[in-house]
Amino acid sequence: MGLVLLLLAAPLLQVLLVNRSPWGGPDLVTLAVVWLALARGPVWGCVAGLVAGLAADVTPPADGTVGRAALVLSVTGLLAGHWRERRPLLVAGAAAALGTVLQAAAAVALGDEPWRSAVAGLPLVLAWTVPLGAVVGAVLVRRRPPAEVQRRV
Amino acid sequence: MKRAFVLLVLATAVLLVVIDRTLAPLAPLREAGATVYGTAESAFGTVTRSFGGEGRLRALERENAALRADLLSSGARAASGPAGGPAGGSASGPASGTTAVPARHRGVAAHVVGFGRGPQVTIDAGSSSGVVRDVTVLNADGLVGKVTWTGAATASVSLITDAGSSVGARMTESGELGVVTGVPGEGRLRLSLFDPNAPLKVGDVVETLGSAGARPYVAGVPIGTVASIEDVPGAATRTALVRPAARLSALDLVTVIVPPPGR
Repeated sequence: MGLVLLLLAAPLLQVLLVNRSPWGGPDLVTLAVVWLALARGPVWGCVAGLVAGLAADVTPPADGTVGRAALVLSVTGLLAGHWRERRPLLVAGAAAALGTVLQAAAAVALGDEPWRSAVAGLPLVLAWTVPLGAVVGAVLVRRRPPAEVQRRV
Repeated sequence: MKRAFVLLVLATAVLLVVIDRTLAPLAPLREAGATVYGTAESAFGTVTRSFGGEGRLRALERENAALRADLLSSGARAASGPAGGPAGGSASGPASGTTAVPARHRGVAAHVVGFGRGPQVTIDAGSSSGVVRDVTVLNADGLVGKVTWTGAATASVSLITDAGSSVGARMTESGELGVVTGVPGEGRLRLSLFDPNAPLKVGDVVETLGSAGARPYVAGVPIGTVASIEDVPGAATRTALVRPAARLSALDLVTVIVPPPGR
Protein backbone atom coordinates (compact mmCIF):
# COMPACT_ATOMS: atom_id res chain seq x y z
CA MET A 1 0.00 0.00 0.00
CA GLY A 2 2.82 2.36 0.90
CA LEU A 3 4.51 1.59 -2.39
CA VAL A 4 1.35 2.39 -4.36
CA LEU A 5 1.09 5.76 -2.60
CA LEU A 6 4.76 6.41 -3.34
CA LEU A 7 4.08 5.56 -6.98
CA LEU A 8 1.36 8.22 -7.29
CA ALA A 9 3.33 10.84 -5.35
CA ALA A 10 6.67 10.16 -7.09
CA PRO A 11 6.21 12.58 -10.06
CA LEU A 12 5.25 15.34 -7.64
CA LEU A 13 8.14 14.73 -5.23
CA GLN A 14 10.52 14.61 -8.18
CA VAL A 15 9.43 18.03 -9.45
CA LEU A 16 9.13 19.68 -6.03
CA LEU A 17 12.16 18.42 -4.14
CA VAL A 18 14.59 16.16 -6.00
CA ASN A 19 15.13 18.24 -9.14
CA ARG A 20 15.94 21.44 -7.23
CA SER A 21 18.68 19.82 -5.14
CA PRO A 22 22.13 21.09 -6.19
CA TRP A 23 23.73 17.62 -5.82
CA GLY A 24 21.40 15.89 -8.26
CA GLY A 25 19.03 13.15 -7.19
CA PRO A 26 17.53 9.79 -8.08
CA ASP A 27 14.76 9.22 -10.61
CA LEU A 28 12.00 8.58 -8.08
CA VAL A 29 9.42 7.47 -10.66
CA THR A 30 11.68 4.69 -12.00
CA LEU A 31 12.55 3.64 -8.45
CA ALA A 32 8.90 3.41 -7.40
CA VAL A 33 8.06 1.24 -10.44
CA VAL A 34 11.04 -1.08 -9.89
CA TRP A 35 10.33 -1.49 -6.19
CA LEU A 36 6.66 -2.26 -6.80
CA ALA A 37 7.59 -4.78 -9.51
CA LEU A 38 10.04 -6.52 -7.15
CA ALA A 39 7.54 -6.63 -4.29
CA ARG A 40 4.44 -7.69 -6.25
CA GLY A 41 5.51 -9.30 -9.52
CA PRO A 42 5.51 -8.60 -13.29
CA VAL A 43 1.82 -7.77 -13.81
CA TRP A 44 1.84 -5.20 -11.02
CA GLY A 45 5.13 -3.84 -12.33
CA CYS A 46 3.75 -3.41 -15.84
CA VAL A 47 0.61 -1.60 -14.69
CA ALA A 48 2.60 0.51 -12.23
CA GLY A 49 4.93 1.53 -15.05
CA LEU A 50 2.02 2.63 -17.23
CA VAL A 51 0.33 4.64 -14.46
CA ALA A 52 3.44 6.28 -13.01
CA GLY A 53 4.96 6.92 -16.43
CA LEU A 54 1.80 8.58 -17.68
CA ALA A 55 1.65 10.73 -14.54
CA ALA A 56 5.29 11.75 -15.03
CA ASP A 57 4.60 12.57 -18.68
CA VAL A 58 1.82 15.04 -17.86
CA THR A 59 3.23 16.58 -14.66
CA PRO A 60 4.26 20.14 -15.56
CA PRO A 61 6.89 21.25 -16.62
CA ALA A 62 7.34 18.01 -18.64
CA ASP A 63 6.66 18.82 -22.30
CA GLY A 64 7.77 15.70 -24.16
CA THR A 65 5.60 13.14 -25.93
CA VAL A 66 2.72 11.88 -23.79
CA GLY A 67 3.19 8.14 -23.16
CA ARG A 68 6.98 8.15 -23.54
CA ALA A 69 7.80 7.35 -19.92
CA ALA A 70 4.66 5.19 -19.70
CA LEU A 71 5.90 2.89 -22.46
CA VAL A 72 9.48 2.69 -21.17
CA LEU A 73 8.54 2.15 -17.54
CA SER A 74 5.86 -0.49 -18.23
CA VAL A 75 8.52 -2.54 -20.05
CA THR A 76 10.97 -1.93 -17.20
CA GLY A 77 8.41 -2.99 -14.58
CA LEU A 78 7.54 -6.12 -16.54
CA LEU A 79 11.18 -7.19 -16.84
CA ALA A 80 12.04 -6.37 -13.21
CA GLY A 81 9.07 -8.42 -11.98
CA HIS A 82 9.87 -11.29 -14.35
CA TRP A 83 13.43 -11.79 -13.15
CA ARG A 84 13.05 -10.93 -9.48
CA GLU A 85 13.39 -14.53 -8.21
CA ARG A 86 17.13 -14.81 -8.92
CA ARG A 87 19.77 -12.40 -7.68
CA PRO A 88 17.44 -9.65 -6.35
CA LEU A 89 20.28 -7.17 -5.74
CA LEU A 90 21.55 -7.45 -9.31
CA VAL A 91 18.10 -7.41 -10.92
CA ALA A 92 17.00 -4.37 -8.91
CA GLY A 93 20.09 -2.40 -9.84
CA ALA A 94 19.93 -3.43 -13.49
CA ALA A 95 16.22 -2.57 -13.73
CA ALA A 96 16.81 0.88 -12.21
CA ALA A 97 19.62 1.52 -14.68
CA LEU A 98 17.53 0.19 -17.59
CA GLY A 99 14.57 2.44 -16.75
CA THR A 100 16.77 5.55 -16.50
CA VAL A 101 18.78 4.91 -19.66
CA LEU A 102 15.73 3.89 -21.72
CA GLN A 103 13.93 7.11 -20.76
CA ALA A 104 16.82 9.20 -22.04
CA ALA A 105 17.05 7.05 -25.18
CA ALA A 106 13.30 7.41 -25.82
CA ALA A 107 13.54 11.18 -25.42
CA VAL A 108 16.26 11.29 -28.07
CA ALA A 109 14.54 8.79 -30.38
CA LEU A 110 11.24 10.69 -30.33
CA GLY A 111 13.03 13.98 -30.95
CA ASP A 112 12.05 15.63 -27.66
CA GLU A 113 15.63 16.38 -26.64
CA PRO A 114 18.95 16.65 -28.47
CA TRP A 115 21.16 13.72 -27.46
CA ARG A 116 23.82 15.99 -26.03
CA SER A 117 21.55 17.36 -23.33
CA ALA A 118 19.96 13.95 -22.68
CA VAL A 119 23.36 12.36 -22.07
CA ALA A 120 24.78 15.27 -20.04
CA GLY A 121 22.70 14.64 -16.91
CA LEU A 122 22.64 10.84 -17.12
CA PRO A 123 25.73 9.77 -15.07
CA LEU A 124 24.68 11.71 -11.98
CA VAL A 125 21.12 10.36 -12.09
CA LEU A 126 22.43 6.79 -12.54
CA ALA A 127 24.83 7.22 -9.61
CA TRP A 128 21.87 8.02 -7.36
CA THR A 129 19.25 5.69 -8.81
CA VAL A 130 21.12 2.39 -9.20
CA PRO A 131 22.48 1.94 -5.63
CA LEU A 132 19.23 3.15 -4.08
CA GLY A 133 17.17 0.86 -6.31
CA ALA A 134 19.42 -2.16 -5.69
CA VAL A 135 19.54 -1.93 -1.89
CA VAL A 136 15.88 -1.15 -1.21
CA GLY A 137 14.77 -3.56 -3.95
CA ALA A 138 16.75 -6.43 -2.45
CA VAL A 139 15.29 -5.70 0.98
CA LEU A 140 11.76 -5.71 -0.48
CA VAL A 141 12.27 -9.09 -2.16
CA ARG A 142 13.84 -10.65 0.92
CA ARG A 143 11.05 -9.45 3.21
CA ARG A 144 8.63 -11.76 1.42
CA PRO A 145 9.36 -15.51 1.50
CA PRO A 146 9.18 -17.00 -2.05
CA ALA A 147 6.22 -19.28 -1.25
CA GLU A 148 4.06 -16.38 -0.24
CA VAL A 149 5.19 -14.38 -3.25
CA GLN A 150 4.02 -17.13 -5.57
CA ARG A 151 0.64 -17.33 -3.90
CA ARG A 152 0.09 -13.57 -4.21
CA VAL A 153 0.82 -13.55 -7.90
CA MET B 1 -5.20 -14.36 -19.31
CA LYS B 2 -2.29 -12.76 -17.50
CA ARG B 3 -0.36 -12.56 -20.72
CA ALA B 4 -3.28 -10.92 -22.53
CA PHE B 5 -3.55 -8.31 -19.77
CA VAL B 6 0.15 -7.45 -19.96
CA LEU B 7 -0.07 -7.15 -23.74
CA LEU B 8 -3.08 -4.86 -23.36
CA VAL B 9 -1.12 -2.59 -21.00
CA LEU B 10 1.86 -2.43 -23.35
CA ALA B 11 -0.42 -1.79 -26.34
CA THR B 12 -2.05 1.09 -24.44
CA ALA B 13 1.36 2.68 -23.88
CA VAL B 14 2.35 2.32 -27.53
CA LEU B 15 -1.02 3.69 -28.62
CA LEU B 16 -0.58 6.77 -26.41
CA VAL B 17 2.78 7.57 -28.00
CA VAL B 18 1.49 7.00 -31.54
CA ILE B 19 -1.62 9.14 -31.03
CA ASP B 20 0.34 11.97 -29.42
CA ARG B 21 2.98 11.97 -32.14
CA THR B 22 0.96 11.46 -35.30
CA LEU B 23 -2.79 12.02 -34.93
CA ALA B 24 -3.34 14.80 -32.41
CA PRO B 25 -1.46 15.99 -29.33
CA LEU B 26 -3.15 14.64 -26.22
CA ALA B 27 -3.94 18.09 -24.85
CA PRO B 28 -6.80 17.00 -22.56
CA LEU B 29 -4.52 14.49 -20.83
CA ARG B 30 -1.85 17.14 -20.34
CA GLU B 31 -4.50 19.58 -19.11
CA ALA B 32 -5.68 17.01 -16.56
CA GLY B 33 -2.10 16.41 -15.39
CA ALA B 34 -1.58 20.14 -15.00
CA THR B 35 -4.81 20.40 -13.01
CA VAL B 36 -3.92 17.60 -10.57
CA TYR B 37 -0.14 17.81 -10.24
CA GLY B 38 0.20 21.51 -11.14
CA THR B 39 -2.30 22.51 -8.48
CA ALA B 40 -0.46 20.36 -5.95
CA GLU B 41 2.82 22.08 -6.90
CA SER B 42 1.27 25.53 -6.46
CA ALA B 43 -0.21 24.53 -3.11
CA PHE B 44 3.14 23.21 -1.90
CA GLY B 45 4.79 26.46 -2.98
CA THR B 46 2.20 28.53 -1.12
CA VAL B 47 2.68 26.50 2.06
CA THR B 48 6.50 26.69 2.01
CA ARG B 49 6.39 30.42 1.30
CA SER B 50 4.11 31.03 4.29
CA PHE B 51 6.95 29.81 6.55
CA GLY B 52 9.82 32.21 7.05
CA GLY B 53 7.76 35.14 5.76
CA GLU B 54 9.88 37.73 7.55
CA GLY B 55 13.11 36.99 5.68
CA ARG B 56 11.23 36.80 2.44
CA LEU B 57 9.60 40.17 3.06
CA ARG B 58 12.99 41.76 3.67
CA ALA B 59 14.42 40.21 0.49
CA LEU B 60 11.48 41.52 -1.53
CA GLU B 61 11.84 44.99 0.01
CA ARG B 62 15.49 45.04 -1.02
CA GLU B 63 14.57 43.91 -4.51
CA ASN B 64 11.86 46.54 -4.71
CA ALA B 65 14.30 49.26 -3.67
CA ALA B 66 16.86 48.10 -6.23
CA LEU B 67 14.23 48.12 -8.98
CA ARG B 68 13.09 51.62 -8.00
CA ALA B 69 16.65 52.87 -8.20
CA ASP B 70 17.08 51.21 -11.59
CA LEU B 71 13.88 52.78 -12.86
CA LEU B 72 14.93 56.27 -11.75
CA SER B 73 18.47 56.02 -13.06
CA SER B 74 17.41 54.72 -16.47
CA GLY B 75 14.51 57.11 -16.95
CA ALA B 76 15.82 58.32 -20.30
CA ARG B 77 15.69 54.85 -21.83
CA ALA B 78 12.18 54.21 -20.55
CA ALA B 79 10.91 57.44 -22.09
CA SER B 80 12.31 56.69 -25.53
CA GLY B 81 10.94 53.15 -25.36
CA PRO B 82 11.68 50.22 -27.65
CA ALA B 83 10.46 50.25 -31.22
CA GLY B 84 7.07 48.80 -32.11
CA GLY B 85 4.83 50.52 -29.57
CA PRO B 86 2.49 53.36 -30.54
CA ALA B 87 3.22 57.00 -29.71
CA GLY B 88 3.74 57.88 -26.06
CA GLY B 89 5.53 54.66 -25.36
CA SER B 90 5.81 54.92 -21.60
CA ALA B 91 5.50 51.76 -19.54
CA SER B 92 1.97 50.87 -18.52
CA GLY B 93 1.91 52.21 -14.99
CA PRO B 94 3.49 51.05 -11.74
CA ALA B 95 2.49 47.40 -12.17
CA SER B 96 5.14 46.76 -14.81
CA GLY B 97 8.43 46.42 -13.03
CA THR B 98 11.03 46.80 -15.77
CA THR B 99 12.07 49.62 -18.04
CA ALA B 100 11.98 47.32 -21.05
CA VAL B 101 8.27 46.61 -21.07
CA PRO B 102 6.74 47.83 -24.35
CA ALA B 103 3.70 50.04 -24.19
CA ARG B 104 0.48 48.34 -23.09
CA HIS B 105 2.26 45.11 -22.19
CA ARG B 106 1.97 44.26 -18.54
CA GLY B 107 3.98 42.19 -16.10
CA VAL B 108 2.41 39.23 -14.29
CA ALA B 109 4.19 38.21 -11.10
CA ALA B 110 4.59 34.46 -10.60
CA HIS B 111 6.55 32.02 -8.46
CA VAL B 112 8.59 29.11 -9.72
CA VAL B 113 7.02 26.08 -8.03
CA GLY B 114 8.39 23.02 -9.88
CA PHE B 115 11.67 22.07 -11.49
CA GLY B 116 11.94 19.67 -14.42
CA ARG B 117 14.81 17.27 -15.09
CA GLY B 118 16.08 19.46 -17.88
CA PRO B 119 16.08 23.24 -18.06
CA GLN B 120 12.32 23.68 -17.60
CA VAL B 121 10.38 25.05 -14.66
CA THR B 122 6.70 25.40 -13.70
CA ILE B 123 5.28 28.77 -12.63
CA ASP B 124 2.05 29.28 -10.72
CA ALA B 125 0.37 31.60 -13.23
CA GLY B 126 -1.52 30.34 -16.27
CA SER B 127 -3.99 31.34 -18.92
CA SER B 128 -6.42 32.59 -16.24
CA SER B 129 -3.90 35.36 -15.45
CA GLY B 130 -3.42 36.12 -19.15
CA VAL B 131 -0.20 34.15 -19.67
CA VAL B 132 0.12 32.85 -23.25
CA ARG B 133 2.74 30.87 -25.20
CA ASP B 134 6.04 32.38 -26.35
CA VAL B 135 6.33 35.38 -24.06
CA THR B 136 9.32 36.63 -22.04
CA VAL B 137 9.95 35.50 -18.46
CA LEU B 138 12.47 37.54 -16.46
CA ASN B 139 13.36 38.27 -12.86
CA ALA B 140 15.04 41.18 -11.07
CA ASP B 141 18.50 40.14 -12.32
CA GLY B 142 17.83 39.36 -15.96
CA LEU B 143 16.29 37.10 -18.58
CA VAL B 144 15.00 33.70 -17.42
CA GLY B 145 13.35 32.15 -20.48
CA LYS B 146 10.09 31.93 -22.37
CA VAL B 147 6.73 30.30 -21.78
CA THR B 148 6.32 27.07 -23.77
CA TRP B 149 2.96 25.77 -22.55
CA THR B 150 0.10 27.18 -20.49
CA GLY B 151 -2.51 25.39 -18.42
CA ALA B 152 -5.35 27.05 -16.55
CA ALA B 153 -3.37 27.98 -13.43
CA THR B 154 0.20 26.88 -14.25
CA ALA B 155 2.60 27.37 -17.14
CA SER B 156 5.83 25.70 -18.24
CA VAL B 157 8.87 27.88 -18.86
CA SER B 158 11.86 26.82 -20.93
CA LEU B 159 15.04 28.42 -19.54
CA ILE B 160 17.64 30.16 -21.72
CA THR B 161 20.12 27.37 -20.85
CA ASP B 162 17.98 24.89 -22.84
CA ALA B 163 19.89 23.47 -25.80
CA GLY B 164 17.09 24.51 -28.14
CA SER B 165 16.96 28.10 -26.95
CA SER B 166 18.39 30.92 -29.05
CA VAL B 167 18.00 34.57 -28.16
CA GLY B 168 18.83 37.57 -30.33
CA ALA B 169 21.42 39.56 -28.40
CA ARG B 170 23.20 42.90 -28.42
CA MET B 171 26.32 43.98 -26.55
CA THR B 172 25.27 46.83 -24.23
CA GLU B 173 28.42 48.88 -24.78
CA SER B 174 29.50 48.26 -28.37
CA GLY B 175 26.06 47.56 -29.82
CA GLU B 176 27.35 44.50 -31.73
CA LEU B 177 24.64 41.96 -32.64
CA GLY B 178 24.69 38.22 -32.07
CA VAL B 179 22.85 35.15 -30.86
CA VAL B 180 22.93 33.54 -27.40
CA THR B 181 22.27 29.77 -27.28
CA GLY B 182 22.13 27.28 -24.42
CA VAL B 183 25.00 24.90 -23.67
CA PRO B 184 23.65 21.50 -22.54
CA GLY B 185 24.74 20.14 -19.20
CA GLU B 186 26.21 23.28 -17.67
CA GLY B 187 24.73 26.56 -16.54
CA ARG B 188 26.47 28.61 -19.24
CA LEU B 189 25.40 30.19 -22.51
CA ARG B 190 27.27 30.58 -25.78
CA LEU B 191 27.37 33.99 -27.47
CA SER B 192 28.09 34.18 -31.22
CA LEU B 193 28.70 37.69 -32.56
CA PHE B 194 28.05 38.09 -36.29
CA ASP B 195 31.12 40.27 -36.78
CA PRO B 196 34.26 38.10 -36.32
CA ASN B 197 36.37 41.20 -35.56
CA ALA B 198 33.99 42.72 -33.03
CA PRO B 199 35.61 44.07 -29.86
CA LEU B 200 34.85 41.73 -26.95
CA LYS B 201 36.29 41.43 -23.45
CA VAL B 202 35.53 39.50 -20.29
CA GLY B 203 32.89 41.25 -18.20
CA ASP B 204 30.98 42.79 -21.12
CA VAL B 205 27.21 42.80 -20.60
CA VAL B 206 24.88 41.10 -23.12
CA GLU B 207 21.23 42.13 -23.40
CA THR B 208 18.28 41.01 -25.51
CA LEU B 209 17.83 42.54 -28.94
CA GLY B 210 14.05 42.11 -28.86
CA SER B 211 11.80 40.22 -31.28
CA ALA B 212 9.16 41.56 -33.65
CA GLY B 213 6.08 42.42 -31.60
CA ALA B 214 8.09 41.70 -28.43
CA ARG B 215 7.35 37.97 -28.71
CA PRO B 216 9.02 35.85 -27.54
CA TYR B 217 11.59 38.32 -26.20
CA VAL B 218 11.28 41.99 -25.27
CA ALA B 219 14.27 44.28 -25.84
CA GLY B 220 16.85 45.51 -23.36
CA VAL B 221 16.71 42.73 -20.73
CA PRO B 222 20.17 41.73 -19.40
CA ILE B 223 21.08 38.17 -20.41
CA GLY B 224 24.46 37.89 -18.70
CA THR B 225 28.12 38.85 -18.68
CA VAL B 226 30.94 37.44 -20.81
CA ALA B 227 32.90 34.92 -18.72
CA SER B 228 35.49 33.66 -21.20
CA ILE B 229 36.27 34.28 -24.86
CA GLU B 230 36.80 31.37 -27.23
CA ASP B 231 39.61 32.20 -29.63
CA VAL B 232 39.19 30.21 -32.83
CA PRO B 233 41.37 31.67 -35.60
CA GLY B 234 39.51 32.07 -38.86
CA ALA B 235 36.06 31.39 -37.43
CA ALA B 236 33.09 33.01 -39.15
CA THR B 237 31.69 34.32 -35.87
CA ARG B 238 33.17 35.57 -32.59
CA THR B 239 32.11 33.21 -29.80
CA ALA B 240 32.28 33.51 -26.02
CA LEU B 241 30.82 31.80 -22.95
CA VAL B 242 28.33 33.92 -21.03
CA ARG B 243 27.35 33.60 -17.37
CA PRO B 244 23.57 34.20 -17.02
CA ALA B 245 22.61 37.31 -15.06
CA ALA B 246 19.75 35.50 -13.33
CA ARG B 247 20.62 32.62 -10.99
CA LEU B 248 18.78 29.95 -12.92
CA SER B 249 19.33 27.18 -10.36
CA ALA B 250 17.63 29.12 -7.55
CA LEU B 251 14.65 30.80 -9.18
CA ASP B 252 11.74 32.04 -7.14
CA LEU B 253 9.89 35.24 -8.02
CA VAL B 254 9.66 35.90 -11.78
CA THR B 255 7.74 38.29 -14.03
CA VAL B 256 5.96 37.24 -17.21
CA ILE B 257 5.60 39.99 -19.83
CA VAL B 258 2.07 39.50 -21.14
CA PRO B 259 0.78 41.15 -24.35
CA PRO B 260 -2.42 43.18 -24.13
CA PRO B 261 -5.64 41.14 -24.60
CA GLY B 262 -7.27 41.11 -27.99
CA ARG B 263 -4.14 40.61 -30.07
